Amino acid sequence: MEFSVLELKENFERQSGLFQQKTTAEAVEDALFYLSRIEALKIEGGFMVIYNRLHIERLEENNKIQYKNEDYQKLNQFYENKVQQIHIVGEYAKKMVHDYVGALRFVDDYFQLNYSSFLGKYFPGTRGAEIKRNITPAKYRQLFESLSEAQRQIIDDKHSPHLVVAAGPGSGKTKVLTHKLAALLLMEDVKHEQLLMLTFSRSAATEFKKRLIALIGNAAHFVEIKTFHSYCFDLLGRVGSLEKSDSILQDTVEKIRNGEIEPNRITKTVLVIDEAQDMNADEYALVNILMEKNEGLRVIAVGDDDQNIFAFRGADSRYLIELIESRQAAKYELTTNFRSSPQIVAFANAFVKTISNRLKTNEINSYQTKAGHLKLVYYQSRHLIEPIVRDLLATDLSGTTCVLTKTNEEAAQITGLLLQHGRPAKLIQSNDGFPLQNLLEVRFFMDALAPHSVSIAPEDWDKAKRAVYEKFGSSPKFEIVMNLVKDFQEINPKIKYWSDFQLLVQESKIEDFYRQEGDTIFVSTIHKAKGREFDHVFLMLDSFNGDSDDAKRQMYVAITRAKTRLAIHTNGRFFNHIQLPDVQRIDNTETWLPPSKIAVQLTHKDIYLGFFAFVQHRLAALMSGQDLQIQAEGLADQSGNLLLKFSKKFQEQISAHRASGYVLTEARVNFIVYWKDQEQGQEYKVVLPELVFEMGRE
Amino acid sequence: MIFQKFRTDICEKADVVRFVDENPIELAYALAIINCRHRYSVTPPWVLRNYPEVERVTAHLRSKPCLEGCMYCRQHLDIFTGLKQFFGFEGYRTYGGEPLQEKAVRAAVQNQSLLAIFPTGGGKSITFQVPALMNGQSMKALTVVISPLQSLMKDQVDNLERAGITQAVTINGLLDPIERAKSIERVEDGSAALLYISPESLRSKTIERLLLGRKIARFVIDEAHCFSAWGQDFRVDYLYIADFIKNLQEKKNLADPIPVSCFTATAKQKVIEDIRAYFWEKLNLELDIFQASAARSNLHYKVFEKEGDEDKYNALRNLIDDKNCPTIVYVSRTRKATELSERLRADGFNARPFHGKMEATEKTENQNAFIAGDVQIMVATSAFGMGVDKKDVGLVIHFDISDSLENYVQEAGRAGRDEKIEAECYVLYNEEDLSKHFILLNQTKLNIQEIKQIWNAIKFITRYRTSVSNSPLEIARKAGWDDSVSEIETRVTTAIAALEDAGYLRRGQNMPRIYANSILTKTAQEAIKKIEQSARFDHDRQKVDAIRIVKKLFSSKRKAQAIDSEAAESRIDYISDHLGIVKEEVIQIINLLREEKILADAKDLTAFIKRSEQKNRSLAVVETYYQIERFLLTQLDETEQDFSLKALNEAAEAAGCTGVSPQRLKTVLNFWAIKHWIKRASRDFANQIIVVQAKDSSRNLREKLEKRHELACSVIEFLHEKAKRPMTKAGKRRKYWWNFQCWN
Repeated sequence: MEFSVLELKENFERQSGLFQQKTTAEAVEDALFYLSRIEALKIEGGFMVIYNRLHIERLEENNKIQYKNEDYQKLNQFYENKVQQIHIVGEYAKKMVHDYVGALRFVDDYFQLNYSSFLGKYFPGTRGAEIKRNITPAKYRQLFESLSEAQRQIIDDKHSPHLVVAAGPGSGKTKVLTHKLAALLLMEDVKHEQLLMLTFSRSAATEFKKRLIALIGNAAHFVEIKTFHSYCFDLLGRVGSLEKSDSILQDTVEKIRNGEIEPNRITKTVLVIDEAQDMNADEYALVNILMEKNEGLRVIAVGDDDQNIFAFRGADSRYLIELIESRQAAKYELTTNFRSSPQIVAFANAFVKTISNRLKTNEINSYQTKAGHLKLVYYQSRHLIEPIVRDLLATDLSGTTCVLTKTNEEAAQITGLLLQHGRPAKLIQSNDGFPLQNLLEVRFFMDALAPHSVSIAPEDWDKAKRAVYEKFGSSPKFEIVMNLVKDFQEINPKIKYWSDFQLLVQESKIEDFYRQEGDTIFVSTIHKAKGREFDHVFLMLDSFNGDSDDAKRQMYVAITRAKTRLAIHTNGRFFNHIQLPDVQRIDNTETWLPPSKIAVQLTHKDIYLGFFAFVQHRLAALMSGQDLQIQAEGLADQSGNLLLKFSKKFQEQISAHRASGYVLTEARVNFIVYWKDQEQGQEYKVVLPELVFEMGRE
Repeated sequence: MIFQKFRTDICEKADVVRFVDENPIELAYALAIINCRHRYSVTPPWVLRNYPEVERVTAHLRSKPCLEGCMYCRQHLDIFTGLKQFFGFEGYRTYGGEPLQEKAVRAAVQNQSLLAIFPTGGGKSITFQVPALMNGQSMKALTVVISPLQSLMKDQVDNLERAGITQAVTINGLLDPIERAKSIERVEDGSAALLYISPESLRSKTIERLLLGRKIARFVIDEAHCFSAWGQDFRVDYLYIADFIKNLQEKKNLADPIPVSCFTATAKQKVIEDIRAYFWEKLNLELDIFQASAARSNLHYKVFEKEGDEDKYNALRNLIDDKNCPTIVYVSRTRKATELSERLRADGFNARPFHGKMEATEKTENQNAFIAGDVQIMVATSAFGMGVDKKDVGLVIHFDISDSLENYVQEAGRAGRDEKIEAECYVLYNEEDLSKHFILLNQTKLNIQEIKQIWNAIKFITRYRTSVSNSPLEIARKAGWDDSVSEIETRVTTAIAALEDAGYLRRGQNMPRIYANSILTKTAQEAIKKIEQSARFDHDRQKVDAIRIVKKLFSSKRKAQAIDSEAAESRIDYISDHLGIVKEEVIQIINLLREEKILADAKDLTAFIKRSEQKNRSLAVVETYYQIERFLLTQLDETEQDFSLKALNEAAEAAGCTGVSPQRLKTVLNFWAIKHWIKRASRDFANQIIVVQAKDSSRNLREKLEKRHELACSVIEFLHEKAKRPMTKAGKRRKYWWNFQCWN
């Protein structure tokens, strides 16, 4: 409908008649402009002249027609030539250093000869390929020389619509991905804002960021590497937190579908997915909607279906298969294991065959040639903690060592037993039950920072670091804060955004911040050891049900953590069918008893949380690692002030332990965390202790 | 009789007898203009339109040098006379003993098309200026010079003026409206013989009309390597040049094609082939080649391999010390030019910087100081040197190597212009510098995905109408590009040029659609009286402008009646261009004239309202934004603050703004920035961090906001009311939109 500014102006003035409101044509235009910007109205014509506009008449009416490679020919040609021109001017410089006449001849030939003869003369053979790369030969070598042939193929594939890389354990998956990111940015003209990498864990995102910085320097800071969750929170404009994350993926997909997300946040040309075997239906739906919204979006998915151990949360490698089958992704297999000795690789190969519906068709081969040790100890008995620790103590170990178990409890027992024998050991704990920002040491650091603006000033950062060191330097949990801080600094060397730090804390888990050091023996569940590697791995499978594919994949993950030594202690029969010459088999027919000491780490449900409201003042000076006195109701500090009451449920457990001969003998502070009483809306410090029960001591 | 009267004004050998028979009217017009003997009288545009043959006849009489050499041809078409007359030089320049410049000028005077490859400072300008000025004299014709470098155009014009030649003008984006209007006037009235414009200007209706109104002697295209994808600087918008020329020839109904001269300093064989093929295919023109050999015997080259910038700097100092002469140091980034020159100055050297991002005055100042010899060392990016003719540069040092041999040869070639001095050309080479060029190339590259994204955006924008007008920024947003991408507008226009070249769309001339052509008062006098008595105009200057606009409208109304021309003179951009008043001001005055009922109210706006759409939806949108804006105002003050969009979004939600989203927050902030309520910058894309500073007190802003809100609601009410009324006859239903197009 056509109208004029004057008409609107007069109408407005007439309406407001009584008050004699005056306005100007400019104000009306302003309002119109506003209405069209917020899309309340669609207006054309008139005042729009102020803004420089292009008049476009569309000739190609068919909506399906895309801008094609042939159309891009001229520009492409130009850019390819520009690349060669840079190489050529460099070649001139190099020539001029030692061959004056030759260099002048070179210039002359460049302008006079047919271009192909010029290239033939000066860039024969492989040099012809060299000058087509938009990177110097030296840089190319630096970036890609260290890659294997199979790895390089993935880097070199610039044309497949999608790539799926099935990467075996120890095959350099992270390395390939990091180099692929570098290649995308440096050699495939993907702009950093058009590149998105999604991971399943914050630690993976951090690791990639660190490696990419190491590889290509500053440019890495501009690349978006995010977890699925944080990317979704970003799109929805929310500060993410775990409580709110249940339906975040579905919400985001819905909003993208409805066009409620700003196009510039989802316009991408390449999407890289790490650990793609861990995708569940929601995550795959996000990938799909991104593909739908970005015509020609290249998806590069890397994963190992054999290592999918998150089936319980819906992770399924069939989404990877779907990418290959219905999206015509090119499939690559990385089957060279750079990590493990040949024996271990052969063993893993034999074992993995029992898993059904696998993606990889080729066997893994080992790059290492040095012989390793593989020992299988079969038990009739239960209670393998005692013998596995004995075995470990009797073995000459150099390098890193890890004991892997199925459950957290087993891991805690083993840690206790190792410590009892005077061996430095560390239990890889998690923060199940509380978010990392509720951990006293982390909270203290965050409170010390509490920035007033969106970014953290360098001096405030340093001040907070000093403060947390002074206060908690002696806490066994200080390592967590320290590594958290280090990680953050490393990936954010310049500006430190508070929101980034919050995100890192929110999305991280305690186990992300244990670093291998010296001869400390790590004790961990299989799940928490995923992605890590150790020289020596002792795997305990006590009463383990290994029938399902999921269980088999867990065992496969455990087996493939080992570099030179793998010792499996089990009372299951999963490996019976494997007949390999290099495996040392021992049948242990002894009967083993439960351990004499049991360590138990208490969680929120084991303690009477409401009680803490009354003893907050007593917790002020308390530190993780401190010993506590045992009292009938609960635990007290060294002066006998009651700090903690056990929950009813845990009281029952203590009784049950006593009935089977175990008595509570030791207690110390494990975690001090903040807990919010939802009813009162009040937050309290809460002590989560570690207890030791001992057999037959009253 | 004709020969008697025009003995000194036309060629003796011209076949006048034939013209008397075949084109008597055209001959009469041609002779009439020649008879004026006034340099600046040109054939009126309407004559050119109605009798296109006049140009051909005039050309035969005045610009076809006869073989025998009659008096006229000797005097007026002799290239040595021309050179002497305009520039005071006795002879043309030779290259390696070959009189290439002379040959090229001669070819131009004989109306041939040519491609000249002359090294920088090789007298390229004279090669087209002499024929252009001669042609201006004999044919009253205009030579159009197309160059991508806007700032250089002005330099060229100024240089000519210094030489006492005032027949050159430029029209480009760097001019203020008054300069622009002056230039246009001089092209129109025939006093300009040379017009410098950018390829982008070919999209302007004003330029097209200007060129239709003059006889065009020739198109000169500078930096002609831009035509070729094999050159060092391919520009997709160059590909439009021939289309433009062809279109112009068709509209002018010319029998002979307009000749073309192409210039470039360096070109390899492939580029030469490309340029020739382009003109052959598009315009059927055969370009003659004039190529100077690149070899310069007085230049000595040397390359030193250096580890890093420190190493380079030490070498640089030593080299300058040793040679101690006028020196150019080339670096690849603007910042380095400044830093390096400062460091040199601190170490006691007489150095100044020069780069493309400097203030124009500072640039000129530094450049002039260097040319005059007051400054010894120029630390410059490749932006320096074009159009600079300094003979005694004895040392050119590339602190960073160039990004192509073409550019290197050009830059190094600025040394030793005076062939008598021995000059040194050094490169401080580090392979890492090549990496920097690669990185820059990657950043500036427009990849196929991006063009696809723009094409998709255009498909979206054109889903209801095939012909649309949008700003580059709007298109970029629809394509999902981030605002913070540098040079985003250029990237959009380049992508569009690529799409145009592939035949997907046609980019029309920029066409703002405001007309001011329905005059209500009977005479100009009456209108002027009304203006003078009116209280609506802000100040006297506005009244003066209003009167000028009214006069202009009346005069173009008369012209429109006289000939069957479109009433185009009343378009806002013409008025702005011709009167030298900025567009915004013109619009404001036209609005006031409408309020005064001097002009009829033109319903020049169209609202698209969905038939099924409820007024409430529009009002709900307004209400949502109103809430968001009120919330945002509470967050800002007049200090510069960083905000996280995500945090703002959550806070807004907590404050009760339902329907807030980061996208909407950005829409508001963008709008405020356009309205100068705030200053806004994006700090970190991935983190969605922005810097915002209010430019007014929050009380004032709040007041403005309330007022605008009230007005916006009123507008919506009004339009929806109006939409409910029955359709007018002119109304026509398109799909499910109500759309009454009515542009008069």
